Amino acid sequence: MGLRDDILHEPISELALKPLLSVPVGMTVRRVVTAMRRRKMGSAVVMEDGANPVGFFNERLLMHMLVNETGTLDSPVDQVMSDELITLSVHDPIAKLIVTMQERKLRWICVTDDAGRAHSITGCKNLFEYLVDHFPRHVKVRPLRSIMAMEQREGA
Amino acid sequence: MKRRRRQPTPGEFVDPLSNYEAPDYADDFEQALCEETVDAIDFKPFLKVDESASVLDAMKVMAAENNACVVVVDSDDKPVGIFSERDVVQSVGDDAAELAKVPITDAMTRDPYTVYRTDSPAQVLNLMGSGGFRHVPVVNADGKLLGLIGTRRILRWLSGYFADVASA
Repeated sequence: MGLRDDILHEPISELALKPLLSVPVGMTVRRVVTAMRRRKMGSAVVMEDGANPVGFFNERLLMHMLVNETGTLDSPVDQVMSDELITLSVHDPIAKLIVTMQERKLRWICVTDDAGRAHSITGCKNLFEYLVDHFPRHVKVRPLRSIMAMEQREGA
Repeated sequence: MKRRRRQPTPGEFVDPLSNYEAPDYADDFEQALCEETVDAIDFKPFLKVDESASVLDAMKVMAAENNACVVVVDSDDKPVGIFSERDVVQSVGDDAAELAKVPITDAMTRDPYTVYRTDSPAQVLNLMGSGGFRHVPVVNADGKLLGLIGTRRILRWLSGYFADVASA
């Protein structure tokens, strides 16, 4: 079994999962950003009635909102959030996470438990940590830096 | 106990690669991790601003190109910092209009780790996975900026090895 087989068969639960940051509908962008900063997270899931995810807000949406002035820090988050929330099951293979993040241009994906409830997030950071932890021996024994290839022929 | 190598007799040819074991890769993905170079991962186009830009200038450039990161370069085109969407979250205070007055040098991450275009994808992944970096500038032997590798570009390269897997 190689690394590719591991990625094809091991479930997302093998990655480090982080509890998601959920914020209620109606919370201001300012408070959401403060929560994201405090939790060191790049995204928040917007919940209705405390349990029903209706969208997400992330760093990119904040940047576009500020530059394009589509909202202010005092706007309700549900006015500027994205309602396209992609989820994967904790039992889906890691390969599906890679392909989904690539196709949907995402860095983070919401992970659902056995009951279909969104309970955590995982993404590129956790995927790269997994890959580094599972590097085969051939990768681990390589030198840290390559020998620089010459960009021009030597003279004479 | 330290093993002693047999001394060759004078005039005897000793093959310097006689102890070499060729890597036995389990699959083409493992081989690519070790033997491909950064060139296999797109590292262009990329965005850069100079040190005199403000945070808002950088955000406008990033938003116009829908990019997550901009490299801050000095007058020699060498990377001195990186400014990403994460830094936007950190920079936003009570008044968003203040962002036009904040110099990028106050908000960027200074002295980013860099890779050469001859480094392997495994080395880039090691840097990003162990260091928690989302973006790594690619430089030449003189340290001048050639490009930028980000998570999206790594994902595109990775997904090429899992093309038969259906997405959500």
